[in-house]
Amino acid sequence: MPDRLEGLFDAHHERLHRLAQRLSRDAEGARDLVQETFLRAARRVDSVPEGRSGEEAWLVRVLVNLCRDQRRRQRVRGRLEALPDDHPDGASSPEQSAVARATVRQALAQLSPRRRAVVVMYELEEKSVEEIARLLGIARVTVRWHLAAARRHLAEILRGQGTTRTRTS
Amino acid sequence: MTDPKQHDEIRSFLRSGDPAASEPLDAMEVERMRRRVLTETRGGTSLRSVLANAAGQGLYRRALFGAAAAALLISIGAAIMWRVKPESAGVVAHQPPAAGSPGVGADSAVMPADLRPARTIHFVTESGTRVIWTFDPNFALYPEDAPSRS
Repeated sequence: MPDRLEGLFDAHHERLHRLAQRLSRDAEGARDLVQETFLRAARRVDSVPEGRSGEEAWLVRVLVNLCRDQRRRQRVRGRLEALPDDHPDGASSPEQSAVARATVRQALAQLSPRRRAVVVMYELEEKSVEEIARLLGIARVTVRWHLAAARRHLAEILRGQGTTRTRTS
Repeated sequence: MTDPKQHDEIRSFLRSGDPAASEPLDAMEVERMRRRVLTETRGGTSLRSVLANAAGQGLYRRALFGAAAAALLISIGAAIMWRVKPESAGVVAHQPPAAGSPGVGADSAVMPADLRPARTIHFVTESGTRVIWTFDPNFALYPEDAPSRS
């Protein structure tokens, strides 16, 4: 069993970490998500399907579910923060990219974990609707519905940012 | 619905601040995580996984067979003890026919079955349980050997 788990870890940890970074609020949260996902796999290694695509789908679903649990806990604690309204002007490039990352993270954090996963996989990982449906174990129509809703939400955020920038500049 | 232009804006917005573009896992972090995960399987073996492994190796069946054999042996032993104990205690009693009854002084083997008294054996255990066996005088292993009623 440790061999199977080692194989799972080696094959999927990078991909899961990328997804976790896009789904979680910070780097530490992403690492915790990945580790917890593999710990779940370690405890239930017999229920992980054989084959790379089956393994990937199982791990992605566990990660998204963990993300949902995390969000639920954060909601209970009232830790969801609002988007920052202002961004520092004239910042240097690394700072600008750090701010951009934080903005995207916070924008994504406003979406439910499953919706976030759908939009991240579609827009950033460039996966097809069919592939996303398979990975998350949901219907294609549900993927499209999440995608449309996420785009509407992100468009509103972008509009808000545009007005803020216009106001501040 | 979002129009294609807005869609492009959303995509470029997300890509401009893609959280996965930075902070990759370093080798030490990966190793630490791997050790933690593998320790979970080695050290933290759950009862469920032990049972699952046992099932996989057919240990359930062997254990079940062993338990059944043990139960059979115990019940045979108990039955033997049950039968031997009253005899060794000398409590077996043959109820003789009462005086003046038709069996007295006669050869019971040649007497009609209805006239022969019923034989009984009494068992008494130490705890006081009494068991009385009554023999059927008309019983015969082979019907042709049955005593005649005439």
